[in-house]
Amino acid sequence: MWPFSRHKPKFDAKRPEIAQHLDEPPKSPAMKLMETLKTSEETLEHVTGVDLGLLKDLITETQTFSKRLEALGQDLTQGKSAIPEKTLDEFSGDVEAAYDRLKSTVGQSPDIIIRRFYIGQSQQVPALLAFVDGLASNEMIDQDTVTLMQSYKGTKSLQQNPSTAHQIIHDSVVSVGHATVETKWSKLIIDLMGGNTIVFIQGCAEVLVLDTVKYPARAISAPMTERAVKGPQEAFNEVILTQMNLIRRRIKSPNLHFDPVKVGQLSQTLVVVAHVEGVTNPELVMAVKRRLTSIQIANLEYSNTLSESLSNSRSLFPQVRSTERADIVARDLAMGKVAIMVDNTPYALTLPATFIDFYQTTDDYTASFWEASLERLVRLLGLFVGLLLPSLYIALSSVDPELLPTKLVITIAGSRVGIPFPPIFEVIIMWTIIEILREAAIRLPKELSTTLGTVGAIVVGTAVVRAALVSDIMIVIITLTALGLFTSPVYEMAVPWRILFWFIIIAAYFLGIFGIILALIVILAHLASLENFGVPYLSPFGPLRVRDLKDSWVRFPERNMVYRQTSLRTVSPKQRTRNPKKPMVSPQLHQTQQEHFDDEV
Amino acid sequence: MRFRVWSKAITVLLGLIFLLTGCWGNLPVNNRILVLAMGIDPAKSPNQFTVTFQSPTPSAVTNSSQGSSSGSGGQSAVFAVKGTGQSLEAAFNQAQAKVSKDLYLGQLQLLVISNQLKPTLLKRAVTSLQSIGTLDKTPYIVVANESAFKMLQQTSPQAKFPSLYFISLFGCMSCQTDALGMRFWQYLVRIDTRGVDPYIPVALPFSQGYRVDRIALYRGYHYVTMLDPTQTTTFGILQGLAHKVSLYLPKFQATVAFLTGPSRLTTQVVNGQVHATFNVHLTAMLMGLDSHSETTQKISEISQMASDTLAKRCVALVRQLQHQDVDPLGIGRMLSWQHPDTFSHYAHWHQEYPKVHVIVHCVVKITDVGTTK
Repeated sequence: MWPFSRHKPKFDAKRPEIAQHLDEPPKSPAMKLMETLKTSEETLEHVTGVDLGLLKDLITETQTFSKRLEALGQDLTQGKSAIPEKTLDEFSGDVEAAYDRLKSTVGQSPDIIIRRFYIGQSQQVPALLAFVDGLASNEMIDQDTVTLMQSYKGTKSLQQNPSTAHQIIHDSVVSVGHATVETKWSKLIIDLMGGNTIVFIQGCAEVLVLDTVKYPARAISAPMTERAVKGPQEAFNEVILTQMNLIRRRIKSPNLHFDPVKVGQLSQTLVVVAHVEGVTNPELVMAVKRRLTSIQIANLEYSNTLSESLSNSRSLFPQVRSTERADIVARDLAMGKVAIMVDNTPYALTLPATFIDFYQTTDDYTASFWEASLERLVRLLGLFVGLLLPSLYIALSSVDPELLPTKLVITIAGSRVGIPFPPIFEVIIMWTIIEILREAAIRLPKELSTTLGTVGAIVVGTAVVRAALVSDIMIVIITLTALGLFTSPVYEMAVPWRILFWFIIIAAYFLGIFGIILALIVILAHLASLENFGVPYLSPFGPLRVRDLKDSWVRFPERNMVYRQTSLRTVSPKQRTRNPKKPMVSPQLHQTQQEHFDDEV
Repeated sequence: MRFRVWSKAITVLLGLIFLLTGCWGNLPVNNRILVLAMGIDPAKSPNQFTVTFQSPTPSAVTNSSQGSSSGSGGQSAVFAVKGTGQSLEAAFNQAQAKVSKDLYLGQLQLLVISNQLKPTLLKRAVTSLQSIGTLDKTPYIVVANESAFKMLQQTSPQAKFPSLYFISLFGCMSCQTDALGMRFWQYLVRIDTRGVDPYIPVALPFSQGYRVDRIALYRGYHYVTMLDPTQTTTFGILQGLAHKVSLYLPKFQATVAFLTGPSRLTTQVVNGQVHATFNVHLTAMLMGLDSHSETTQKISEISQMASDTLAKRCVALVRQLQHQDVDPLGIGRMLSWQHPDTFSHYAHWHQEYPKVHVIVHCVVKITDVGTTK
């Protein structure tokens, strides 16, 4: 350890009692225990067959504990002597005590850098600086903090008014853009862990917290899970500040608010609730914040962990949209929704989400309304094909063959000649193969997964038909099903359908077409019963809002969508002017061209 | 509380599943014998009939799924199972005993009845057919001259299965001279409605398939007669079902072809006498006339002559039907709609029907000249 105190006898003189205690420290119970343990270790070293690892661990722990206790005691003593009303959680103003306290707690970790130095050159004021190596910018610490403080010439004023030293340093010395003041150890440690640099000044009870945060962050990349043909290619990364920046760039209005909430007793994860004041219903914002603050978990790692707390029921269907696209979040915010961003997760949540939200993409708004409507209808068709084709096959080939045209029933009967299993087993076999292939391919490197997909599709598909385990019609049906179920542009919407698929299959097996209708009614009733933050899940279909149907399974031209979604109950329902004037509808191109020609002639 | 509601709902759903499964009617289609055509003939012993169930052979089914249209090695694509009994059910049971798979009537497309079938047997068969759950009322019904079994044995190079031949034929309006196809439910409607008698198209086998250009007339369940092809086309005109009827006029050496158009029947009661008026408005194409003689005057004359000829034919047909006391044109039904009081006074329409005064107004309008459609 660098003998900091020996270079500064002036300060040593201020605390003679402590110096005496350091010379002959009183043996604390922890020290006594440690000594006993050491003696035991020495004794046991000579005894063979005894594992000393555990004992050594115990000695190390006791040493650490002893040091912490000592530092705390020292801090408390100093604090009491300087400012009697200070509690243990508050910084006493003694740099040396702070050093000991930091060193004995977080300082044991190698990524925590604690450095003692002097402010000024002629009249030196001791100071202490701590930061997390890697999370803080070294350039900022070196150039904007340490260098400037060490070369500061007005240290006399610091010594005269030690209680306002932090103010002088803040105003006149450090050139870090964002700096705050903190006194409580509990908050200082959290700030330190967040990448800030904390500066202790001798005699000053306030500690400077300098924003030197510079996370090792991934660059802003193109979205991987929600690709768009013509839309912006920016996805969030893990740093919440970048996420906020990406949204701020899209909504420059001062009404865009980011409200921070800390979630997780252990992780202290920063969660930001974004909304647009004057658009979003304040009741909705308040409800979201209350839900977030009521979450009691130790560690918040992923944004989806919040989804359960933000949804009403244990429904299969997602009620919170998770997206990595900044443009979708900005669009939702402008519509009057609330976005939640979680630090270290590149997926933001927007809510309340309705069923139709999961079938809308960026491309719907970058393409013409004709194309967008066609694509959405294709998605709807894909959903129906994927969900109903195998169950219709089972129902029509096993339970209600009278409903099929004769030629088709003969074709199906012909394709099933020699197949030992009933149609439901065919579906089970094929769907199991599809699920296994999907699960195997999803986490493999891209090159391997492509190969696996090809092998699975061609080799297994052909082999299964050749082995007469399933009919060739079933290959067609299952292929269409697998494609159809994934037409949902949002991945999590495919999951409930993959599960409900089995519900409908079983209903079709037992009850035929009647069963399919019954199952669909049950699903529809469940969907109609869902409600998230007061917004019906099936809106605008149930309750029917004809005005909002303009942006549902078909998309009307932008000029027709004058109002925001009724179900969101926004403060400002109108989002654009109806029939805006079009200046210069038919510019006189020909006439102007002629005039130019005439001028040239 | 919520658990209780859920448990109740689940119990009800499970109960529904077990109660509504239709006796666990789950049987893959390849494990059924798909009866596509059914023929009903009188059996040798009186009061019994023989029912023929015709199905595609397994090899024909397999070929069909592989896209092959020809039969395998000249073998027939269909096989027939026969059953005899006093009731349709008894005959069905006998036939079922001869095959290893479920004899499935849900895909029945063609019902062939023999014109030799006695009214009591026909009534019994029709009543039984109505009560078969899997059998819907949509198959086409045709009459076979003498034997339905023989008619079903006939094959056509145009279609692999006889039933599919008749589906194609009756399902296409422009494929027939008159759209005479009759589904089983339409037959049942005519049987059960007062004032109208059923007619059924006749399928006559010949060396290359079937000929369907006549109809058999029934008075209730009684077979009355079979109209010849000319009378059948006239019947089609009176019913408004004519599509490709043509009329040759020797005087002008021209043909009025593609006669088609609606026919409207109205009834009146004048001094207790029922008058039935058919207003037939036909459009047609004139063919065979050389271009030099295509004058408006001549076309008008031809049109007039065609109208007169057809009107006479229609009147003659209606007179014959009155004489035979069979009312397939539904004059009685129209009277019951237009003059229900008068109609309700008649205890037996068939006693009044021959006395009806029939008028036919026929107008042929020639819309096109010299080109073939």
